[in-house]
Amino acid sequence: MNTRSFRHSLVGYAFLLPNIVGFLLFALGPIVFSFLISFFNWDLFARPVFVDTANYETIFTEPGARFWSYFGNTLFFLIVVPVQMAVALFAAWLLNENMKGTLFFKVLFFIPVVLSVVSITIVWAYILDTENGLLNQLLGFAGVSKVSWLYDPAWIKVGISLMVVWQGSAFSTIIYYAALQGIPDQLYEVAMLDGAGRWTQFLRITVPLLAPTHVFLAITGCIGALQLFAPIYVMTHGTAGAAHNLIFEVYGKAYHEFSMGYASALSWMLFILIFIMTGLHWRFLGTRAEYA
Amino acid sequence: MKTRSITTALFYLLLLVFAAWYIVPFVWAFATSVKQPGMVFDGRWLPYERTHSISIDGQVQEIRIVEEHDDTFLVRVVGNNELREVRRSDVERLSPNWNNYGETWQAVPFGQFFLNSILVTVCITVGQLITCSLGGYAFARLQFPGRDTIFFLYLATMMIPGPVLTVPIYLLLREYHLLNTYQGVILPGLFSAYGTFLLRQFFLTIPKDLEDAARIDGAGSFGVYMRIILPLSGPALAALATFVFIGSWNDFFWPSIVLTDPDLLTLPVGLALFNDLYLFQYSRLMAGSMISIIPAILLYLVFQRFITRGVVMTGLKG
Repeated sequence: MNTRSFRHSLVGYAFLLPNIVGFLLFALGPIVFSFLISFFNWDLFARPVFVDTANYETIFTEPGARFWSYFGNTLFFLIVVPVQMAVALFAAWLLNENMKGTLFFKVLFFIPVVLSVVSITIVWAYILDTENGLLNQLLGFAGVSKVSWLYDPAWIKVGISLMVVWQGSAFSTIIYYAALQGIPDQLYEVAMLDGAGRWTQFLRITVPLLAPTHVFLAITGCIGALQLFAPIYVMTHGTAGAAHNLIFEVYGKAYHEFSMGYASALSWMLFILIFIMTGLHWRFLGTRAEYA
Repeated sequence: MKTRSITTALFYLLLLVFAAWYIVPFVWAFATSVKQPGMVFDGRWLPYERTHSISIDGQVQEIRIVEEHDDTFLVRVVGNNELREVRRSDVERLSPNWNNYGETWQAVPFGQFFLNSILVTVCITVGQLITCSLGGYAFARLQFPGRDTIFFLYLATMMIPGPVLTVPIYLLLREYHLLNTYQGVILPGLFSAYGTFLLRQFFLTIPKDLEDAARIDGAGSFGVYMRIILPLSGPALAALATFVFIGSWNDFFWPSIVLTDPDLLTLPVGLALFNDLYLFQYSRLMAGSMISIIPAILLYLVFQRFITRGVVMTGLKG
């Protein structure tokens, strides 16, 4: 290596230095470390003890089928993904008609994106309040009796999902709206000449052409839904209760029980879950996306 | 023509339904936040206040409410113990309770939470723009051994979900006594593989000729970075800044793990604490969340176009 290219390399490393220090300390290092300690028992006070794959086995063999309970809850929240996508697609489609006053609606529909989950959840916890909440009041007009959204184990996940859909649909609306703007008007004009109505145009042109956006929103949506934490924490005041999911299990094991090895093993289960989920999306939606 | 106007009306109707879905929670929360004590659960949206003295036959008399009906109240006049039926509007009047905001602001150190959030968010945003743009430039334009291998490692780590990282980072911060400090929240936020990737992709689109011309004029790599790359990357830098700012301003998981001292809490963590302290005191809770929601909405309204573009470019997750 001559001195000139050596100097060039030094310049390259110099530029990368602050970045790579962060990468090693807060990304690569922790990943390797997390993988290693997932094979140890470590409570922060005594020395770590090598336990082989015992932590991973314990996840499945814990008494009371705990794993299946929080694993089931984790999967339950995936329900928000199709719902928020459907809501958002419809909202974006309406906005894309570019009727008078669209700007007002657009600004309004996008607001939830910038708000903190915590503040919105506090508002929604009151909306879902059994005695005085808005939702039960509205349902009361329709003759539905009061639902204990936040205290009935059967309903709490639904209550939380509603709030998550409310905020998540705003983000998806922005993304869908941006994608809709990229569909050429000519396609609709041709369809119109062929006598296709609005609804047919929506189903035959809009929905298929948005395939890459569907995949993107499905994947990011699932990754988010599998890691739902703040809404559950705030709604249940940190207890999670019947909404206890995998992230809460990691949180509890790591920061309340200080079982660092076990918590790490659990967090890798989350990785596997996300990995499988993303793979499935590519497998079943990805191929269709290529047409667009 | 007629079907067209019907379609248009239908579209507006649907837009209004969506508008209600997004706006009603705010209006309701705001309405609750200015309700008078004792009137929070009266089932109405507007804030009413009840007086204890009304004018009867030209004289101001103190009264007690005995029974409530739809439009009238049965009241006992304290002076002569007489029962009287009066109109609801004589006893109740509209009166927003703004004190709620002042009292809520005092209830927990919201001012301090705001300052903490501003400090943490500004440091993280500025820091990440610096590290990501330097690294992105190195990956996009500079030649050095191992560049592509390192970049591949960056991409690989982006697949790993955040919670996998938190236990080791927690242990690292604990080792260096950085738990419960601002640095504990800020330091891990100063780096992002995603931000580096995003800027690298953008820098690759900048024509190489410009860089070559600057080098012929005697600019070094840092000169090119400062005078060519950064000025031409306004939209990408702005998008990343928006992404990082919104993300770290609203972040809850990490600060809630690192911070326990009430004086250090960021706004979301402080709000969650407030939510635990004022259980079921809904007008307080709504005032508290409004205190954090209103400035965010105002900022959003000012930078609306800018933020929307940033969200689209970065694929910001909620």
